[in-house]
Amino acid sequence: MRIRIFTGNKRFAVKVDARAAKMLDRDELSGIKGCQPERGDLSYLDVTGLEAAEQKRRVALLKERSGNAAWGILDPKGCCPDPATLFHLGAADYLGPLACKKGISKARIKAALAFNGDDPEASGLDPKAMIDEYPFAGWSSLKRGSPLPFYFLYVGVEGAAGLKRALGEQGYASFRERLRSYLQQLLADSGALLWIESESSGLFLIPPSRKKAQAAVEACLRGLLNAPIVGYEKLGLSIPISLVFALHFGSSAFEAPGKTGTIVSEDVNFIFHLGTKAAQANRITLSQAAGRAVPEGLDGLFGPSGSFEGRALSASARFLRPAPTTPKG
Amino acid sequence: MPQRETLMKVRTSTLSLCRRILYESLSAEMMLRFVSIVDPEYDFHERSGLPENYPITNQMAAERIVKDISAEGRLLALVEMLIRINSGGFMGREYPIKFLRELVRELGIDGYGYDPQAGLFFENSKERVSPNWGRLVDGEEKQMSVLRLDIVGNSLLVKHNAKKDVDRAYAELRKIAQTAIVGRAGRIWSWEGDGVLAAFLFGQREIAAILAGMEILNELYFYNKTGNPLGEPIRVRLAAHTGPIRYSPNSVELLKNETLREVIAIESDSTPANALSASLNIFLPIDRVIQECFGPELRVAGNKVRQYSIGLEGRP
Repeated sequence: MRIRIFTGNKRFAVKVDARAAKMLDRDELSGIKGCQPERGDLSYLDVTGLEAAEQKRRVALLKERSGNAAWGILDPKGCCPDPATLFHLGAADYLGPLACKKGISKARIKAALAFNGDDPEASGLDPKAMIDEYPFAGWSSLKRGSPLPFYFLYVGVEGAAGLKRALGEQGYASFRERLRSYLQQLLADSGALLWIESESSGLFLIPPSRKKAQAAVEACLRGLLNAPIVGYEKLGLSIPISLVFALHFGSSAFEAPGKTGTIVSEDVNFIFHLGTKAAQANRITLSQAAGRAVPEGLDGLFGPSGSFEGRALSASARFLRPAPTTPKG
Repeated sequence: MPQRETLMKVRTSTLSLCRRILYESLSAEMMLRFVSIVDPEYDFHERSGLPENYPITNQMAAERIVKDISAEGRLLALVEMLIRINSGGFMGREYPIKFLRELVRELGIDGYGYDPQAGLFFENSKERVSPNWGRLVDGEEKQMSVLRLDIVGNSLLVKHNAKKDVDRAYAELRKIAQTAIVGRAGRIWSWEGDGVLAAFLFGQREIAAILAGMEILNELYFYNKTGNPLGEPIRVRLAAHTGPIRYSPNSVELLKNETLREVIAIESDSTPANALSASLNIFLPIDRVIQECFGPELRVAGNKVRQYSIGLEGRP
């Protein structure tokens, strides 16, 4: 999550919650034009000193640039003649002179996000309030049919049709066998269950535990870095293989693998859409809800990757193998 | 004579089967001819003390040859030769050798697998890991691939960090290297302070050495980010090369091999930190899909090399 304040006053100061301050970007009014907030972000415009027409123009621009993301107005001098109209336009927050003195608290940000229809728990403002561990006693103990929280890991083979042509029907079938066995081995530490499988992809369920999800993300990154070795040694391929990984946290009714035909779940739909339409090859793409699954130490490999179906995404950088040109180091 | 700890170990029932195979498949004359291929200096009469005009039965010849050759640590070489003769004959004549399948099975129980591609037996790494794969004898020359690893700035790492942290980090590095090398039937010949020397003899030894080097770099990349207790990342230089090597259990003698001296020079003079250099000798025979992971040919400090390292593309 990012919080942005656009102000034309260099001396403008507003108290901001300590955790939120780490997410704060301050910019000139001209920065509104180039900003690209994502769902879950919050942008404020300081209207101090702006004439009515200018104020109207800037508000309209911020509204347009924010899209689905929340936005609000900072009005420390009480220049805004009719704050209610801002809410009619779609603002999520308004801080008048008194509120500006109190500052932007954590509770206020969460309230503004909730007003905009965003998930305040996903803001990262209150990590203790976010649930890391749900009770999980193994796949065989799950109650069938009732919705349960899971991490959903999509694994796809990029260019599967071309690979199938190159390997032939039988060769591709044996490649899939080897890939399945490799992935199950790779994801063993995360307790993953291969839940749904198609010709070119698989959906793993990971227990609703941050540690397990982190183990899965680290395993996927290892899989990406080692792809040439694995493709050659374990999958028996003489052509490069590109894998697509996507992770999302959500809920679904549970059914045993092979009996998933009747499952209707928005999150299962989303992970398939994410994996097949938005996630890029040779990266792992995370939905905002799964963002906390990045292990400590590996967060430097991840960066924002736009949004998809109204949810902000992050993705890992691709591993490259350029030859070093300096002789000694 | 080979050193005691490097001698191959097989059960007496395997030796009995060897004797039976020899005397039921070959004449004494042919046995002596074939054994001279395995050990050109082998002299049956000198070993047995029997005069040259004394008639030798097939059983006597088989008994003596198996005893002497196994004591020399060359039994596997004898069996490999019998397998070659059984399938390809000798000097245009066929020599069917009986019970070979049973012998290969018995040797498997003794801890030696057969690699049909190389035509060699190899020690089962799950049971035993000897520097000579339980079969090479002192002075035996083979084509091998080698991998050299050096820890960059080892003395500074040791100076800047607590001993327990350095010990822990180096133990982990050793585990990473061991898994990558021994998992591909390679053997670590020396691990001294900041340097590792490993060799690969079986199967596709060139690609095994290259993949082991790549895996070490890849695993170390993650270890440095997630588990390294030191205040700085462990950086290594790796080099892979291939060529003839005369085996010796003595490391000083071993290092007289040109191939080993070359790989050390490639690592120290032609390789930057966090990279693997492959000599052209080892690079050319490997599959294209792995070749493509390496950069263009470079000439560094007189060595022509291709290099592998890990980079990151710009974020999406």
